Amino acid sequence: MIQVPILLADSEPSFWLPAPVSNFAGPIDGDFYFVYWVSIFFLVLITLLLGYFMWKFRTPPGAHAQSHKDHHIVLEVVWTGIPIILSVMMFWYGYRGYVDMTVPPNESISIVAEAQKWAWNFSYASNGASIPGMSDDFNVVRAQVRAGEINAEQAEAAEAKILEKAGLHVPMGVPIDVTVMAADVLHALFIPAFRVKKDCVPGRTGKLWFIATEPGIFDLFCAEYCGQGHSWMHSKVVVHETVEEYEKWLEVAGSYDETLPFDENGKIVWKRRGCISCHSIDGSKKVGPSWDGMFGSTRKFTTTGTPGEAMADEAYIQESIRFPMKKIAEGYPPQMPVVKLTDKELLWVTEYIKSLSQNSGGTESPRKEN
Amino acid sequence: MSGDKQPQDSNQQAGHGDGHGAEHGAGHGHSPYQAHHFDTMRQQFEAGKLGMWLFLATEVLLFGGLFCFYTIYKANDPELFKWGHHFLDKRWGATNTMVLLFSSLTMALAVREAQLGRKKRIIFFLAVTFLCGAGFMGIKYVEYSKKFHEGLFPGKYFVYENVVDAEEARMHQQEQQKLAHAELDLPQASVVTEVPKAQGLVLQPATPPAGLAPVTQPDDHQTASSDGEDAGHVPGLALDPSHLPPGPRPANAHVFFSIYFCLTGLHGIHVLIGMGVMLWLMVLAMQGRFGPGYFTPVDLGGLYWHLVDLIWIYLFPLLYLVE
Amino acid sequence: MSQSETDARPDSDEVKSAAAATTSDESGPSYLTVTKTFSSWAFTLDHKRIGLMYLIGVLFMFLLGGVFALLVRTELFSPLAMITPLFADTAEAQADLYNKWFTTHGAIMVFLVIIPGVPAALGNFILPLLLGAKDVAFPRLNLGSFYLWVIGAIFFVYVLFSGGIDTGWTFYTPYSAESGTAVIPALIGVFILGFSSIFTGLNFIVTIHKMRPKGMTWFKMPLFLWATYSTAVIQVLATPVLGITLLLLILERSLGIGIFDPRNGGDPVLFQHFFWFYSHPAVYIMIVPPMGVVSELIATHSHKRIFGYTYIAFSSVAIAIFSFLVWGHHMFTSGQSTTMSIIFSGITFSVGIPSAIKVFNWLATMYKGAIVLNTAMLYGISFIFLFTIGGLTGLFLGVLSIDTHLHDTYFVVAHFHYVMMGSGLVGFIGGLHHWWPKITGKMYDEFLGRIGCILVFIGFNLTFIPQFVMGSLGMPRRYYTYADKFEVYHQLSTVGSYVMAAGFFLTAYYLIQSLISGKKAPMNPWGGNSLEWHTPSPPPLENFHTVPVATDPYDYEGLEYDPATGNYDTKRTG
Ligand code: HEA
Ligand code: HEA
Ligand code: HEC
Ligand code: CUA
Ligand SMILES: [Cu+2]
Repeated sequence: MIQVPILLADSEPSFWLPAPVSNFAGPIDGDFYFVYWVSIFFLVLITLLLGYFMWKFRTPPGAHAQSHKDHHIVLEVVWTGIPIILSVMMFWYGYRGYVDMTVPPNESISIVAEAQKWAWNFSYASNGASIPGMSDDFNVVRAQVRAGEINAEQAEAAEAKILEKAGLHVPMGVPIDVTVMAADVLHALFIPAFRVKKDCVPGRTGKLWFIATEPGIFDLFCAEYCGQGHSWMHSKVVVHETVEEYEKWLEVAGSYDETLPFDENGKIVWKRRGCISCHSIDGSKKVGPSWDGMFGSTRKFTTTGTPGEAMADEAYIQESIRFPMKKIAEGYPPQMPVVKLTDKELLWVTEYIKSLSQNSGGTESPRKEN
Repeated sequence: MSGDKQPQDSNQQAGHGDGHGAEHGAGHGHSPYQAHHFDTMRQQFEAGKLGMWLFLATEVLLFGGLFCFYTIYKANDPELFKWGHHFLDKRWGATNTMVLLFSSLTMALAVREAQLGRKKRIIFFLAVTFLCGAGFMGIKYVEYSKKFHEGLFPGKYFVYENVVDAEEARMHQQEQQKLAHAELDLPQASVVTEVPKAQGLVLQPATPPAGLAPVTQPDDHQTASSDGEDAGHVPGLALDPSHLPPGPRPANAHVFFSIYFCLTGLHGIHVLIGMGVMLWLMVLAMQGRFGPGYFTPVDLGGLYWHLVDLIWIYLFPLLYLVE
Repeated sequence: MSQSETDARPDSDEVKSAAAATTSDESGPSYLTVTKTFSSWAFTLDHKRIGLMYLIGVLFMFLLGGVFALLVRTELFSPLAMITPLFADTAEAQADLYNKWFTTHGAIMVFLVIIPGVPAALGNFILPLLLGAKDVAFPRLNLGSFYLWVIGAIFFVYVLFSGGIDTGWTFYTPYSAESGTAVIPALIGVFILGFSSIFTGLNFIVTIHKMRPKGMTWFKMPLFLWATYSTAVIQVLATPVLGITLLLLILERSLGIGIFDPRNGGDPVLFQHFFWFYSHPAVYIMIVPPMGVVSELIATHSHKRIFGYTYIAFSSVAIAIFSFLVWGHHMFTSGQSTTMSIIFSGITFSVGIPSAIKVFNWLATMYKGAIVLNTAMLYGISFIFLFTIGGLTGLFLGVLSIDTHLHDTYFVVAHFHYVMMGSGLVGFIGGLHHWWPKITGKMYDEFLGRIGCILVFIGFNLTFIPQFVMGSLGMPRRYYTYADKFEVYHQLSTVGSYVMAAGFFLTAYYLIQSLISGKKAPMNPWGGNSLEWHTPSPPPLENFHTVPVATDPYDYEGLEYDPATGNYDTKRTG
């Protein structure tokens, strides 16, 4: 098994900002603190003056003002001029930093991050491996911690276990070029520790890049509102110390164990590729219909797509996955995204769905428990 | 200051002893049409005029938003507009332009007559303007019903099957004319290439994106809309192949009709409102309200009507005369 | 109370000098009492009654929006489910519910409270009075605007009862095109509210242009009029664009026209451009009128001529103009082109300058004034402090590189609450206190007033300062549950919101109490010199018994306080 690096406590988070662990963190934090101190200066100045005037010139009703001066051109120029100069500086710093963030260097590692409701999927250009974010598994760990079932250490271990086959993995010190996409609605890829964020827009691609400067595990959030599971749609970034370590991990994590039975691999697909967030296997209704007992049953379709009805056989299931908009199961919204499964994955998941009609079972992943 | 104001106001005060907060149109020492909160008729007239201009500004911005969408989509996809405008009948469009231009003239005349206070003529010109509006809407009705009949609805109700059928039929005819090498799948191919851009469109004949093994046949569910069962031949077709624009169909053809119906629909609603205004003005005119001292409503109604015309003057070339 | 009763009486020693605009009261009913039937209110064309009805409606909606805010805050007290389980069983349904709460909260607060708040409610009441006019230019249109507001509000209430809406107040596509909730009624509601706002703005522009009294040139107008005028321009020019955008979104949902939804060939980023083309200027619809209120508050309660009149007046106009050019700063991470982001960022800072000018001029007005720290003034001072924080944190967001990190985090949430709630709403409440005696003819309890203000101030800061911290630490907004490390901040924030709520409920209490048993208000309780203080409280039907002459609104020297009546009288000349 691949060791997932443990956070090195080198860069400490400050009161305002998380630990700076990417090439952008330094400059952006610099800009942040520049604006911060300018703001503190004006805030303190204004507050002191307010307080002083309030105190010094307070009177009971009926008094008359001590001065009648109502304009002072020098003052006006000063308090217009200084903010102008400071504004120009702020704009300039921000502009410089931003332009740097838009142009990735040439020799970089390319990763495609695809967002769907409500899961992440990361595809690595180097070997075509497709690694899921596994939001749901992290949510289970979160829930267990909160319920007091496991302690912090066990949680860390559990997360490390999940991360063996999940999450966004990158090597340290190498430019990473991430292309973001979305399958259904808007999402946004947000890694606070790296200070990067990009909206995932359906029908378009976006780019972000960074160089991680510390090994460790960091939060990855969805920052654009995307409906019900928005706050569950998180994952982790794992920064490996060396490229070799990263590549070794990629090789292992990127593959399915083809010796397993089809339906078992299908279950892995269900989890990995995010079907889990909409389809239960225990009969409970989520966004989409449960797979429990689906195979072989008669499906009715709404007029949103092609109306009519059909028996759920292999062809129907595969069609539903390839072209989800064609036939919309009655009682459900037309919200199933096109998830690009490989032919094998498609086969496995079909087998898995099939297997669920013979024996039902499985576990519902607890989310935010009561 | 208000040396002349004072007496007037005390006058009003008396008139309003039992005022219910209602606007009193009459009962002062001056024009019966002067509202109580204005000092002079002139002030009232100017306020009305300024208000109307501001209102027209908001109308322009309302349409301006739509024109922006038009411009953006045109810039992104000029082919779409070149293709789509063939469905619009320039002759009807031009006729409508003339009708509206003429109505602007009669409206202007109505305003003039209102200033002169010639009751019969006011009503006459207003009526002509109204009829022009009605004529315009009639022509729009003809145009719209043809589109609906052919299945050229906006958005997802756009019946791609009709267009596809007509394209096939046209291809068929051309083939028969040429009697040459069988390019039977050419129209099919042109359909396939453009589909990926519009993947999710619900009513699009479900042509799978190229490269994916189709699980079902592309057009095995054309049933819903094409009535003529064995489509492909002229008689049963909802859309006559000869109405088709030359050239290949661009992706997202329905978007052209979305924009067309949004623009002309919103404009049509404005024409209807304008016609309502004409009726109202005619009623007022019949009551003999207008004269040299008071013609604000006609004047403002006229401004509105001119704006409605003006918008059509922009719409016509933008939609009908794309090339 | 016989003393104050004399106020309402015609008589007596108050024979005014001909030149002064101060008129004594003549007997006669006020606008509140002149007629009593229901229809005399429902069909009134009197701007004061319309303003008052708006005020009641807006405050009621504020309560409703506030209740949703408290639900949101309570839910966020812990990452565990707090109160959603009371209403929904499954985790999924609970998350949906939360999403509906914050959407409803945001949409109500924005479209039904803060946009109509100062202009339509206070502005309607005060604007003609400030102008010495009998009414706004188009009283019928004014009533129409009010009913449009009511219809819009009804649509929102309908939405609440038909399952709510969960798109966020920004209605971003494609989510809003596919969400299974009552999006269309909400959009229709906002569309109608938009037209209500347009007609109010239109009315005000014409009124200010055409109905100023003799002697009141543009630069002798009270600053509140400059503020409402600038706002009205934004309302008239920006709102139609929102209207058409929402209309198209309705069509996108119903007909799938393919303008905004990528599945039908549309472009979701285009929606964002059009949304913010309105909604950025709209944030200045929310702040510029309260700024106008604060200009009046600070000058009046400092009893000192406003400092830098021309600069404040022009800065309102400048804000209105610049506000049209910066909408793209909400979209730095959305995938708009880099060049556009850079231009928008640059122009964003230009809005800071006029705001700075205002802040400093208010401070200079207080310098060497005779400051009476009553409730209204306390709200004014709170406004300056909170607006400074809100505005300065806006600068963080305007900086391209920093916004990449802060966009869609609680830092943004805290920023806009400081400007919308801490400034916009506090300015509104301040104005409410300032003009309360004029509107209702009653004085409220000053002591409770100050306590209320201080509670709101403390509670507010406690609620939103922690949000700045957790936002910059990476807490995304619109989250139903969150990582454990943010828990402390959320807890502080929730406690703060309760304190704030206590402050508002106290305020509601003493204001209502003043209606029942408040002292009768004198004509000019604060010593203001703009025209509304020269007519009885509450004013008669057509505002003034004698046509007022516009004098310098910021000249407080001619007023003498009479401790017995609590009134400021015009000094007798000769
Ligand atoms: C009343 C409403 C209001 C007001 C007045 C403002 C005022 C400002 N806002 Fe704010 N803003 C909102 C309401 C408002 N905003 C809302 C609702 C959102 C989020 C909407 C959503 O996504 O849901 C938002 C979001 C928002 C963003 C997008 C953030 C994001 O989503 O990533 C940005 C970015 O530039 C921004 C900037 C500013 C700036 C620069 C000002 C400026 O006008 C501030 C000017 C004031 C000052 C600068 C302070 C006074 C000056 C001094 C004390 C002197 C010192 C000054 C200098 C050195 C320049 N705002
Ligand atoms: C004017 C606008 C306004 C106002 C005043 C408020 C007021 C408050 N807001 Fe809100 N808020 C928004 C506009 C506003 N908000 C918007 C636009 C959003 C974004 C929505 C989105 O993401 O789509 C938002 C989102 C938002 C969030 C983020 C939700 C999320 O992202 O998940 C939170 C969380 O804490 C919050 C909290 C609060 C709180 C505690 C108050 C408190 O200040 C409320 C206190 C008020 C009361 C408790 C009511 C008391 C009233 C009376 C008693 C009535 C009578 C009163 C008198 C006579 C004085 N708001
Ligand atoms: C965002 C939610 C979502 C995700 C993720 C999702 N689905 Fe679905 N799915 C739906 C919805 C909603 C329906 C019902 C509407 C329809 O038939 O299109 C559905 C229907 C189906 C059907 C047809 C069921 C029937 O009742 O006819 C199959 C098969 C299916 N999904 C498989 C998958 C697979 C495999 C994946 C993952 C690779 C997946 N889904 C991911 C939402 C989702
Ligand atoms: Cu995905 Cu939010
Ligand atoms: Cu903005």
